[in-house]
Amino acid sequence: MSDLPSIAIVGGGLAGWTAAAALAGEFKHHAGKVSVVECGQDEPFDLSEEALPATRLFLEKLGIDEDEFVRQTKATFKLGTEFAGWPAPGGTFFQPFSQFGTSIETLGFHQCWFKLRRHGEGSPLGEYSLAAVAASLGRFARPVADTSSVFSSFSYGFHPDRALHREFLRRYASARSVRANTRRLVDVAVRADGGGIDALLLEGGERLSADLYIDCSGGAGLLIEQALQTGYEDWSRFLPCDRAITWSSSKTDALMPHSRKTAHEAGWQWSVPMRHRTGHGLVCSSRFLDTSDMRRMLPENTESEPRSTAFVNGRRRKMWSGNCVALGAAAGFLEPLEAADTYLVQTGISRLLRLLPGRGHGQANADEYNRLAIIESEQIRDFLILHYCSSARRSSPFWDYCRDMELPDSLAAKIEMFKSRGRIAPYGGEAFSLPNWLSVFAGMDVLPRRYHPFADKLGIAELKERAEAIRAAIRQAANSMPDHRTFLARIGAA
Amino acid sequence: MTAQGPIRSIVIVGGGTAGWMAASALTRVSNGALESIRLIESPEIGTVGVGEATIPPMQLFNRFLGLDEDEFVRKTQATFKLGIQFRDWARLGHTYIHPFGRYGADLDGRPFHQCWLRARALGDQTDIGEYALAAVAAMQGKFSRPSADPRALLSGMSYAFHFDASLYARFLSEYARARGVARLERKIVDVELRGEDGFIDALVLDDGERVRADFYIDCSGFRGLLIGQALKVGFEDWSHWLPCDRAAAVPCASVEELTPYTRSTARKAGWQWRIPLQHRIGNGYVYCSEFISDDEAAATLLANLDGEALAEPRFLRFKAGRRRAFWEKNCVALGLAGGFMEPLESTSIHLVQTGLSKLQTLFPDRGFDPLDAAEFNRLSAYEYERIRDFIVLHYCATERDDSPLWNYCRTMAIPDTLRHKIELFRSGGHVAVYDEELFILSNWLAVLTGQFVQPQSYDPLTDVLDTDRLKRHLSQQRAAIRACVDGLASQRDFIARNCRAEPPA
Repeated sequence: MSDLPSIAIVGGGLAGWTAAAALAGEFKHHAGKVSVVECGQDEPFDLSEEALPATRLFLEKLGIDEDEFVRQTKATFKLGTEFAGWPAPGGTFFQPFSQFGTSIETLGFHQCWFKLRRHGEGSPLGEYSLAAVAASLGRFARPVADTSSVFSSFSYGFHPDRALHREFLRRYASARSVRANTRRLVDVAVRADGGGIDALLLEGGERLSADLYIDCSGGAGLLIEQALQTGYEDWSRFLPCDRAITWSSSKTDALMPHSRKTAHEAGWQWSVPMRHRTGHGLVCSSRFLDTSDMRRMLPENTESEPRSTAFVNGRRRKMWSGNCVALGAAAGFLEPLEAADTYLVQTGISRLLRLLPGRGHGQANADEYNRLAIIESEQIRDFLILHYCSSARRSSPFWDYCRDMELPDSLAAKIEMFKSRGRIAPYGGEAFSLPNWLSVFAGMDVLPRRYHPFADKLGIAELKERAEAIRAAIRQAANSMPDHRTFLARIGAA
Repeated sequence: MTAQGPIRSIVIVGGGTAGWMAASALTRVSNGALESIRLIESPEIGTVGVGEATIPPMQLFNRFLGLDEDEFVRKTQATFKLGIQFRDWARLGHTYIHPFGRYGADLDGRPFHQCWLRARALGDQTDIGEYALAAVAAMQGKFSRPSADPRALLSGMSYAFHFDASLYARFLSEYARARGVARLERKIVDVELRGEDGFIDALVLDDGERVRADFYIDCSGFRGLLIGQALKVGFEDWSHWLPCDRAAAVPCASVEELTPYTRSTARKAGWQWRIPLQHRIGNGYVYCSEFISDDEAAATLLANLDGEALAEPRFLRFKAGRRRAFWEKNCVALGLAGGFMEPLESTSIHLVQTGLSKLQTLFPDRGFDPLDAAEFNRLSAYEYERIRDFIVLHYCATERDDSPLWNYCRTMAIPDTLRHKIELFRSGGHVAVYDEELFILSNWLAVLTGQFVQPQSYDPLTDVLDTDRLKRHLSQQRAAIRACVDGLASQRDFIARNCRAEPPA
């Protein structure tokens, strides 16, 4: 006899199988209580082909060997993202998964760097990040645990092929007796008492009931929205992009350990390196560019058939409603500018596992889940908006709109605080922390009006010397790392 | 026109613990970036508090100053504290301990307390305190500093101190003055504000001298000489959640054994603290004046001492709550000038410490960008409110119905943030921890379980664990803790070996 709830996952895409794998890992010999139902809906590009560093913890928790994951998903390693054309046409910055420099005299390195910049000294911020320098050299190695070493100052994620990633997790879950129901969903029965979903009605008349339902059906939200009408908070006034076209090209010789996001006149374009191909996507706002013009922006010969999707940036008003929890695009959509979409599925299922309700109880669990999920998605939303509103790009209606648009109060306060004194207020547990915000502010040439007064404890000459020593040590460390391709070959991922 | 340039001078008003902590920390962090730090203390104002209890982060403050901990213990007649014992809080005759440090180990990724809850559902009767090294050691009068090796069982406990607050102030005063802080032993008779913006312009002393600084720190205690009386910053009253508004305090003679914990005993109209120091014991009755007279409170206090009273009881008056702004114009309030919460969880010193840490991060210049103050105030208000919720939990989660105070507290409306925590714990034993919250899972767990907040179910994922293995895991933990405590020295021996204070002159 067990209090473990039976769980039905709707949607057999990457989100659905990420949830199934995480549940299988925790339910162990009870994993048969979990089933996955294909829903026949396409998710908008079914999550991106980028995975943030938190993915490593996710894999470790499941007992998955990371090298095996990289081998099977044709992944490359990810040290960060290059943002081309974002500060202004021709301008570039790098968003690394790494710290910048080290504290000087108990003062954060960034405050010292602000002082150097104020005096026209110091190098661009990326020069003080091992991940950024290594990425620019096409090098990769894993970090070390010893915090006194410069090699402990960074982290990494992956670029896994979407379909292979999904298959990998599907095999993991299936091997642990999660059941994949091959009959498609045709309808959803709702409980008359308002308690949520009563049953899933499948092809051939089968009724599937569970204690808890996980909606991974994509933006349509077959359970959370179409059946339960939870409502959606539309963020497109802050994040106006709403269309994407995706395609692939064959691999290039240079296998960079980072993705590239290139701004264009009405949105941006991605390119993500994998070992067998490069994934591309064009993201636009239909308010500022119509679909035919969007098509014209594609390269003449895309090697795969371009696939279009529409989306609305925003979030479900509740991600957990009644006996239904939404994950992935069903819970909300945030364009994959910073690869947060896969991350949100991982944190979502981990949070659900932490708050899994016992029999007959759960409203407080749902309240707690929603409280945390809303904080998380709003923090990521703010971080994405920063890329648009702080750009100096001009002379296109899209970028003019982004420059002048109204901002969420939380972001406006964060920007003001930064502009005033270079402070980035920490919020515990957020996906993007001080170094991430710092690299975007600095990358966009937004610098504070003043630096920390205690940075004046050191004179400019001494500060310059200390920063230069850090820069040189990072450069030397990056040069000692192997070439990315060599590293991949070493773990059997050629 | 706004002034430009760095802060050159600071004046601290008040020479209690808060004032000298501020002086010491500021001289340490500014490290020569300031031209002068002065502290004004009136010889007439004594330090409030008869024995002060703290929480573990205080170790960090002493370390930050570079103090030798054993010397600090000797100089302040301190003893070590492994937690707080709560008597008669949940119900008359019931006792539990809020220990510092971890409870038992997780099993297969399942949190320890969920394993314990499942075992209880299977009929196990063990108290959660049996799984906390600090709780077991405290009850046996044992003490050791924890191990730095996270794999060692002995790394699972933490400690704080009980000390004489006036001796600590004196100790820090020596530290700060040796590093250039000037001390003015005078009385402030007036505070002059600038006409154009209402900033503090000067402090007028009893001999007519006017003291000016770029920046003022108000450590003047409850009355808030600068922040309240001069700058007219209002007070957010929390007495509907924390109705106690007075305390009677008295030291008494020490008894044989030094208990390495604070004791808090709930009484008819409040609670009594017992804080053991090396040379005596500090005691006090915190009470609600609506339900008991001063005389009766003093009589109750004097009737419940370990040894002979060493003075007449002193009476204090206060109101629970916080300033609407902790930083206003060119003045920051620290300690009781910023807010007051009864010392039930020994947070007073800690709030001074975190106030100073925030001040270091947000240190202004003479332009006094209002954003700095706004950020300081946002963070401080949030911190006070989270601690408030934790203290309110002790009052509202009780079975006691033997007096008007407890009848009020048991049925009062509580803050939504606290209600959510209680409901979540009742639902499945989950503990919601808010961002940047001082008290974390183990603290909330101690008080939630100690005050009989009963989860209706446990984490269903613990059903994955084999029952026999779960029981074995728990009994092994208890046995390992008992064995570890058996090997520890008594606190008396530990102090005798390392940090025995001289008897007071």
